[in-house]
Parts: sequence; structure tokens; C-alpha cells
Amino acid sequence: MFTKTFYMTEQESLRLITEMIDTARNRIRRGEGNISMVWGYVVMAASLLHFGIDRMGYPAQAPYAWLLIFIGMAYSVIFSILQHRKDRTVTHIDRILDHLWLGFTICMVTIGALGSQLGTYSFTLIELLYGLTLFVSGAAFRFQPLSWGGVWCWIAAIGSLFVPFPYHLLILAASVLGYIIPGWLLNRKANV
Amino acid sequence: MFKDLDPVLHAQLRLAVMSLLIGIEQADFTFLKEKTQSTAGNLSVQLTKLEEAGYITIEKTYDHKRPRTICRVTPAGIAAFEAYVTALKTYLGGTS
Repeated sequence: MFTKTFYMTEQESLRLITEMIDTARNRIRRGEGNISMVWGYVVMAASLLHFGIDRMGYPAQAPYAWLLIFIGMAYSVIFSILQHRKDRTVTHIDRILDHLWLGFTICMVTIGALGSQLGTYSFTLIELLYGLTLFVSGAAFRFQPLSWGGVWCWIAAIGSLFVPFPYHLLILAASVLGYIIPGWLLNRKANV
Repeated sequence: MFKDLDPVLHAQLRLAVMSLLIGIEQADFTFLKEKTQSTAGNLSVQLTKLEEAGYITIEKTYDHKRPRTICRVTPAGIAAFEAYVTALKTYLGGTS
């Protein structure tokens, strides 16, 4: 296209600007959906493990299942660092989303640390925060399935309040579909 | 009276690079080369001109021992681009 430098008419300039801005817009990084999927699998595994251990007659030990959250945390941090290194481009939205997921990770750790005070509500809080993260990510990518995944998480969080413990853990695990499927679809859409 | 179009920006490849960088906070050399479909030599020369004008910064780093050039638009570059677009609109609108 540009093998040598030459000058343009005003119309050509404007056309070029529009074309280049369109090229850079709506760009989704490869593997962008991975972070939501990993958190999805982690929450599902922890919920089912907690439920399973509780049903086996060890309710005191069951909450330790949530130590799996550290896997999600480690992945979030490593993903952000590696992604940053190999990114061919970084947009303002990329930075906002990195901060959003980092903030989510900090909230998860804080909820984990306060788990005994929050009791069973900590699971509902996790679900609400996860919903928020997905909802905002969906808007940033202009990718509605992700936003709907967020809404699905909120519905599950509210629904879990009406189901006795530990059965609401099953609702939490089932809500995983709300974030794994959009994450998978987002990866398919990724073009950079 | 018509405003002068910035000669640094009023060149095809330099304008293409600036238009890409305006929408993106930073981009590497490979991305710019691919999107502008330019030759490495020409792109390199034009990036240097943009850097000399203070419109972009060029950072040379290594990614797993492979050299990597990262370009970022500066506040001066954003201001120049905005002024260029305003001047362009004046020309196209035919008003001063």
C-alpha cells in the first residue's frame, strides 16, 4: 500500500484517517475470553467441591475448597503480565479491563479472607461481583453475550438467597454456563 | 483564510500511522507494518520523522531475545492530529 511517501488531496486524507481508525477499532485480543472462563471453572469447581465435602459430613473443612480461588488469582496476574508482554497493541479499553479484572481479583481475595464473618453470603457476593465484571467487559467489547452472562450471574446470585445452604452452591455451580459460554464465544470472535 | 496542513502529517504513511495510533494507546512495529501494508524500510523512516516532530515515542525492547519496537502517540501528537483534522475540515468545508 505505502511503498513510498507521497502527498494526498484533502479528500484522500480524510478517507485514509477513517479507514485506519476503523482498522484499529473493535479489536479483541486473542485469548481475551480465557480469563472469564478460568474464573468460571474455578468458581464451579470450588462450589461443587464445597458441596461435596459438606455432604460427606465434613462441613467444617468444606470451605477450604475455596482455596481454589488462588488458581484464578494466579492465572489473572500471570495472564495480565504475559499478555502485556506480547500485545501488539494496547488500547485504553485494554487497560481499563486489566484494572477491572485486577480489582475483581482483589475483591475475591478480600471476600475469601472475610469468609467467616460474611458466612454463606460470601458466595452471593462473589456471584454479584463476577456478574458486574462480565457486564462491564461485555460493554467494553460491544459483545452482548458477555453482558448477558453478567445478568445471568446476578439472577443466580439473587436466586441463591432463596435456596437453603449448601444447596445454593449448586446454583452457583450451574451459573457457570453464564460465563463459560460467553468466554468461549469471545475467543472465537478475537481477531488480533 | 485557509489553515496550512501540517506537512509532517500530510503524507500518506505518516498520517496512516498517526490515525492508527490515535485509536490505540500503543502499537508495535509489526502491527503498524501489517495494517499500513508498507515496507519495513519506509515505515522505519517515517516513524523516525514522527518521533523527531515529537508526535510519537519509539521504545525498543526485547521479547524473548527478539527485538521489538513499540510506538506510542504523545500529547503533542494528539494535539497536532486534532489540528490537522480541523484544518482538513476547513478545506473540505471551504470556509475559513
